[in-house]
Amino acid sequence: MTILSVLFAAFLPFQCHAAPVKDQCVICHATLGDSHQAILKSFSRDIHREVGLSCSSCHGGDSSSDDAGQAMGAEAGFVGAPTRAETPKFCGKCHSDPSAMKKYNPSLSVDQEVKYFTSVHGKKLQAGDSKVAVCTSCHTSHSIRPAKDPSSTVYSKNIPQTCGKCHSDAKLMGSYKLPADQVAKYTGSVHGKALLERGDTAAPVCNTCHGNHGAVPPGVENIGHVCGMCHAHNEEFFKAGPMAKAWEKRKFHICSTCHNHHDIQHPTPALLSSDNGVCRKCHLAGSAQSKAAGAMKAKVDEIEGSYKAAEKSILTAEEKGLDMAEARDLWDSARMSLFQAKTAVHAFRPEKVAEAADPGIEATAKARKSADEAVHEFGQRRVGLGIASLFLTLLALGLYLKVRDLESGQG
Amino acid sequence: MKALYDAGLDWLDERLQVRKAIEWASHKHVPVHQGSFFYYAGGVCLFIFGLQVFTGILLLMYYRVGADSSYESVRYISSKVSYGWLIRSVHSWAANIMVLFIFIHMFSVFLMKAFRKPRELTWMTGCGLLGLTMAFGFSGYLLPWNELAYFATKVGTDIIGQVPLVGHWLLRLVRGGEEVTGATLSRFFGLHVAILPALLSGLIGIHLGFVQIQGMAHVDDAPKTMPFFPNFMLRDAVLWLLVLNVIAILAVFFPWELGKKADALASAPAGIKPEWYFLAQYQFLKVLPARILLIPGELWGIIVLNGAGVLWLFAPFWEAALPESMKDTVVKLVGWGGLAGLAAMTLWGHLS
Amino acid sequence: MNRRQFINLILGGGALGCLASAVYPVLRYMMPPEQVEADPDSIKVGSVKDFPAGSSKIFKFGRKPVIVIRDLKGGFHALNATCTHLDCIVQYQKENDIVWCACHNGKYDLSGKNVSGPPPRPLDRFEVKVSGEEITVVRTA
Repeated sequence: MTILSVLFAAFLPFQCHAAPVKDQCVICHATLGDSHQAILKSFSRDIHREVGLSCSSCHGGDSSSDDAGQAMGAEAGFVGAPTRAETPKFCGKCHSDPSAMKKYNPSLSVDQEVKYFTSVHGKKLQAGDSKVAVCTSCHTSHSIRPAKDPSSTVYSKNIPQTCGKCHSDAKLMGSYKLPADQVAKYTGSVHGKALLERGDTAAPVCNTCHGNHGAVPPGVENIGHVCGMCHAHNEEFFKAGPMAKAWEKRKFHICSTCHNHHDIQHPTPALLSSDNGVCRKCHLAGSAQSKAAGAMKAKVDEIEGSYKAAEKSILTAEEKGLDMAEARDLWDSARMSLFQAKTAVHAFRPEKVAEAADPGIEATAKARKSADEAVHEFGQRRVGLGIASLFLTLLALGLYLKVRDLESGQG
Repeated sequence: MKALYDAGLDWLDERLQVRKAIEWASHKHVPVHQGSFFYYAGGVCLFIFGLQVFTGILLLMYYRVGADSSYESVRYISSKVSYGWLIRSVHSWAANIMVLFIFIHMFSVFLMKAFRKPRELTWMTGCGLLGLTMAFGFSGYLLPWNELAYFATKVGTDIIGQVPLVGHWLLRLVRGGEEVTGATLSRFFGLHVAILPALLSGLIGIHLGFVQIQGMAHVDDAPKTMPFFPNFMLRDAVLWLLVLNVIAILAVFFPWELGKKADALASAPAGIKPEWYFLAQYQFLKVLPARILLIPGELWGIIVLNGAGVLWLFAPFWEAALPESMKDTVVKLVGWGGLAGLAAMTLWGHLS
Repeated sequence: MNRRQFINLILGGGALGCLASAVYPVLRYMMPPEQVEADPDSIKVGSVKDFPAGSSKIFKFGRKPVIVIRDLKGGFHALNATCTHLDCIVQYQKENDIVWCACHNGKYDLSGKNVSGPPPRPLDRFEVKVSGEEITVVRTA
């Protein structure tokens, strides 16, 4: 690998700073104690190293000289380690330069620095706060890996931990009057469980909603769009429905008012309860709206109940070794209805929910019936066996008596 | 009633000399002693073979061989066709019970020394019947094309590849290619429904012919006998009915499972094992060290198993050559020892 | 009734009963079930008239739902209709000429490739054969 990257570097006509064949930085710093060696070691797996860059590519200086003064002199263009405030520009030397990036990774965008300064982190940095996150806070300084690499600090499954380094630090967040429980809440949420427990890397993580380089809270106006990226129908139904205007007037967050944010739970029909559901935040008990919520809850309860009951029946039949392929198909199709019924709730019209749920309720009823029938038929087998056994025994007995009879005659 | 029966018999007798056959059968005698029970084992095998032919033909009405259709059609038989589960389960259970009764029959014949002159050929045809039945079991096991069968066949045929010189050639012959594929399935199907039934029927005919010509062993020195017809045959029939009933009970209470469809790319499920009647040999090959004296352990295993098979087949000849004083001891030792060894290896294989 | 008659009665009754309990399941077995065997290699999905440009229909191919699409240019496509994300059933959106899953806004192009949203894999493709007016969907090897 080393030889390859050295060769690769040697043939590149121009880089930010071309890596020389013999790297004096490595030779000297390797003798300088543990902290220096740790940097060299971690950099050996860094993506920049893998594409052929070396220390001087970022830090400047003359890596061919064995004289420390000359190698790290101002004349050689040595810039050393940037301060936090300098970091975005430091990385931006290459990452904001399309012609420089083209040589290494043409598909990578070059707007990270620009975006960064639109983020809360970037604005605070510009205002002189050096405690905020800069490039290296998330990407590390010398162990940088591409986001698709599972060992990267910015791989989707590692992001909660990476953001949590600061955002779970109650003392640090307290100084900004921010809560520090987002990662904990996210980890227990439906999305956190999908990503971290089920390993579904399509599940949203911090940066999916907040953006990465331009990290900001989505805000009141945008949150619907952010959730709507995946939950398109929910957004569509909601915006076309009766609630959208009132929400806007009161400056409610369109999704999080009922579902919260960070700790979004798998929605249960209990949300719609006419006694203590989320609708009761605004609508009075006994109002037409509360009643409609109750009606929608009843429908969702019905399809969930029949879905579960059908599964139980199918499992009972399968335990007996019966083939339930068709009942399973019906049951699968009902899952789609269950999904649609829950989505239809966002239109806030009970008849819409019923329209989505009813085919599923019918399918589960059919699945359940066929499973129950199979179990019943399985029981009938024993009756049939009993009858056949009776005749077999009778015939055997008859034959036995015949032999006895015969042999007594033969003497 | 009686008159009608006699008239029918007369009619047949005029054409086929039935009375002569009955007369002949009633002169054949079966010794009566403590071990008489074992004389029924062979008859049970014959009965189950008939049952297998019958249920096998029924299964053929719906079974469609092929990697895309075998599993689906078996699933169809056991879930959609009325009483399909019964026919399939009876066929599967009866196959296992048939092998069991063949073992009982064989070991009882061996321990009673009924293989001695002049019955050497009867013994050898019997060994052939065992081999054919096991081939029946092995080929039939693959036909549902489910995961277990697929991997069991893969492992089983892998062993064939270990045979020196011709191993690879044999492997290709058996599998119809390098791997277990739809081509293997076609081969096994042809074997199971055409070649083996023809061979087995022929050999059963010969085996029974020999028994008829020679009569039962030890009839002359038995203190008591009973006529083959009708006494023995009626008792035979009682046992057949009992066996049929047991198979029906097994089929109802333990329907044969189908499992998942075979998938060549799926990883082998844990604890994959052949059917119980191959388990002893399988376990033996498995526990041998990788190499013994530079030669692969499996090759040694194959040599030892084949050697034991040849010794077993030629038992009537080497037993006759033993000194008179040793005969009893050796037969007892080999018979019970073999039985205990097989049982122990099977149990070990089952538990490991 | 004497002893012999009694034995013959048991014998006759037993034999008849045994015969009946063997013949009954066998006859029932031989009668073909109403539903013919599932899991075909191909299915007929109707005639070209049933599919105006920009329409789609879902069929059962054995146990799998398959979506048959006629795009705006008149070409036919058949894809496994089960979304590779969480097993919802996908639909055809003629406005954008894409296959869309309503559950989490996953999108596929008409060759089944996942192009946006959560789906981790493309949809399996089936072959569509048009002979005369008749359309057949065939399993690809």
